[in-house]
Amino acid sequence: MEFVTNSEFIIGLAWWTGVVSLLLSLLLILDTFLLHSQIVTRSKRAERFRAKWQPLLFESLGGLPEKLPQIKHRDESTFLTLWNYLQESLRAEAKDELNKLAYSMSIDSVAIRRLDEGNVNDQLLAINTLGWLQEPRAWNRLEKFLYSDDTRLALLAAKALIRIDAERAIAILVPLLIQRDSWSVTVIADMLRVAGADIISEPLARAALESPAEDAPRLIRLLALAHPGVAIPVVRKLIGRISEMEIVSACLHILQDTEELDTVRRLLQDERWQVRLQAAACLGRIGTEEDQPLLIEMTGDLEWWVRYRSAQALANLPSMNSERLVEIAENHPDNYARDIIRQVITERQVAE
Amino acid sequence: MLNYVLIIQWICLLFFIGINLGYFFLMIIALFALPRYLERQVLLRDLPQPHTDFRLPISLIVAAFNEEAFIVPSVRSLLQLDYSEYEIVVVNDGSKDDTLEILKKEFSLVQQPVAIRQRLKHRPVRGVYQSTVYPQLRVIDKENGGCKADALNAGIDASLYSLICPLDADTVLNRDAPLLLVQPFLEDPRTIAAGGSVRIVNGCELSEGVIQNVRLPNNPLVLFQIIEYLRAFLFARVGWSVIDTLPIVSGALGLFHKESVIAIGGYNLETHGEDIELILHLHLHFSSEEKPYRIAYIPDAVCWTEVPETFKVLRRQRIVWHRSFMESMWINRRLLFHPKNRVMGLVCMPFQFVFEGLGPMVEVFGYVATVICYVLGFLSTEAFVSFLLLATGLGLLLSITSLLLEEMVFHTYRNTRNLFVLIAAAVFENLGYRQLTAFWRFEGLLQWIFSIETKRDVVTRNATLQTEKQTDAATGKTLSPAPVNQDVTSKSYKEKITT
Repeated sequence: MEFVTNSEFIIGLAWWTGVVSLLLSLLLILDTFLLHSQIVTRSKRAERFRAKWQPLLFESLGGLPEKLPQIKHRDESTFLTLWNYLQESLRAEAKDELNKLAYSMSIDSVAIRRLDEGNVNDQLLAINTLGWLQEPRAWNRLEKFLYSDDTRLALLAAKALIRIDAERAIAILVPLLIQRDSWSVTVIADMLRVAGADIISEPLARAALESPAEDAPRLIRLLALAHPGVAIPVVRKLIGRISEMEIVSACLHILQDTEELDTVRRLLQDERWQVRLQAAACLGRIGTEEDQPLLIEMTGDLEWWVRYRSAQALANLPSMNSERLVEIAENHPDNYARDIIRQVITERQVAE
Repeated sequence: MLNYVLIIQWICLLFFIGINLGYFFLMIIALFALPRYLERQVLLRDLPQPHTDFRLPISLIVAAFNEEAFIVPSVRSLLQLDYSEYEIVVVNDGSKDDTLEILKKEFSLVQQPVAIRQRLKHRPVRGVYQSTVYPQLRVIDKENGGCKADALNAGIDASLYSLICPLDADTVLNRDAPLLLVQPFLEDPRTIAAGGSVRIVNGCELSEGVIQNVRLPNNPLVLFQIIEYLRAFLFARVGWSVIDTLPIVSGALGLFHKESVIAIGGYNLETHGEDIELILHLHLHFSSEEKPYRIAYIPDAVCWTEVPETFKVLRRQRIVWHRSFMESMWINRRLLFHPKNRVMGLVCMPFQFVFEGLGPMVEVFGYVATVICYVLGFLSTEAFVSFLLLATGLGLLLSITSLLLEEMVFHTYRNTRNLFVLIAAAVFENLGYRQLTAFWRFEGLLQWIFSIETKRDVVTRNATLQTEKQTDAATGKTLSPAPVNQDVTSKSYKEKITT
């Protein structure tokens, strides 16, 4: 009987592939051990470094220590991580003291060098460091990173630029917020908070009004971070003239004043449940006693979320109390409405 | 006759070449992609993260069936997660033990009026309980549905947030796991699911549901499974996710866009492989609808789970896993050669179907035929030894590469002795264990082919799995009596692995 597996060529191939695999495995085992010992040595070194530097960094918060040890090239990453960690955790005055310490040790130059020559890891740490240092010399370098394909580098560079010069940075960033839809709203919001409402309100409001309908919802969501005095007029203008669901929902999400009550009440009857939901939630914030019948009716909506938000809004109305809510629940003709109001009553009791 | 023998030999040979080439392809991708991915995570891992109301809130859904022994530490560990806004929805799937009573007592639960909007198929909800101590904790008590999928569907219906994270009641999450899993959703709006890695907790020190010290167990069976898990998670999933064809998100740790899951009808109640079915169904749905989507794998989002410590339980687990895997593949067979998702349809699905699904059949046939041919003298000793060397060498190479990747990016096992033990396990795993699991998977394949149902009231879950797994490593004491007679389907509340 003929067997492929008895062919000399195939046996030879199997044998040598097996031998090569075993040899490669042996090499990899050696490599794994080498790596293991390197990591152990490195982490022990980092631990020793942290044990030495942590007290010094804390001491520097009360003024620069007289004598600071030199930082070796291989300890730079550990130092920068430790320094950045403290920066993220401390209050504003303490941050200044940490910056003085960093400048006294030429950390600004170290960060710029790592920005120019390092790998992504080095660059991320360097960008964050330069942001905290508010180092104007790094502006042009950091601005280039805004256009990087790597979102993390771009967003971190944006945050660093805001820390260096918020007004100048926002002028560059607002158009990018529209262009770069891969930038997450969460991270942008974190970033804009750093700039503060004084600086972001006007440019964001302008951009929201001028941007095309598909980009507006993103900017309107961010308007929640702007001064209400600037944001609300924009929302009023948009809610009155645009019917796109995303925009209307975003506007209702941040609406805080009673001047648009009639519009909100009208939107409670919108055919799109997402709009009804936001309108109900909005009434929970700005509604008055007069909205009670409307909201009671909405607790019987076909959509669970609209029922839920309407019941919550009802419970939040100025004159509402537990007894009245129980009464509404008991007398409501709709089973679903009764259930949802009872749920909200229990939630309130639990919260209390 | 001769031609048939030749054809069969060529099939076996080509299968062997194909599967190994596939694994090497995935391994090479992982070797490049994994260090690169982790390099970018540096600031997320090393620096404190701001908690903002813009971060997406998530609903953790814990399916619990007869989990009185573990449910409290499990919920307590979830209450300690490092995340700004999340809720915990524990679904008591008609437990016959005191799971609900213990939860009520431990977390001061009060009953709420039921107002759940039912959008998915599941058995009726009997009651909803709210903790008066932890506002983010709710317990849904429902009639037993016979499978985890039923409980998860009820949890999804009861959840409040747009991202859901289904979990097993005995899974321990790393504190930063939700923070890491949510990243792809923040960075890419196309993301519909993100999966994390599963590690083995046997042998580790646990306290209040939190890992205190990572240790290796003494049981060789568990050590072999550690190597298997490393292979599955560190190169297979990384590899598939890089080419956007991740075929599975572990049932033990995954984050999903709720509306996408609801759009496909939630978890399938007809299969025990609800997690793999869900992912394949999502692939199929979004591909057919031509909607852009992404399913991400986040290797450093880690949860810990317990694995069987006896051959008997392990055998049952593997049989159920393989049958479930084939069920899920078959349900979603339209993905094979799908014209609108070519990489998935032409690369991943055929690989999964042929090499992972039907593979055990060829593998077992290969083992048996080789031994018989050798004994009957049809195969020379030279050929026998060469092929044994080849199979062992390639298997070892893959395992050692996974170990190297683990050391390179995670360095979980810090003790050098542990590394020796794992390398020894990687060597000895090739001499018996792999062949054994191939036989078990073949059994699962046969069960699927002949549609043999493992009756949940007939096949009992090995009590040792429960008792052993809840042994407190610190004190060496068993935490509480274990439920016996738990069915193998509820055992499928455990993690599924496939390369």
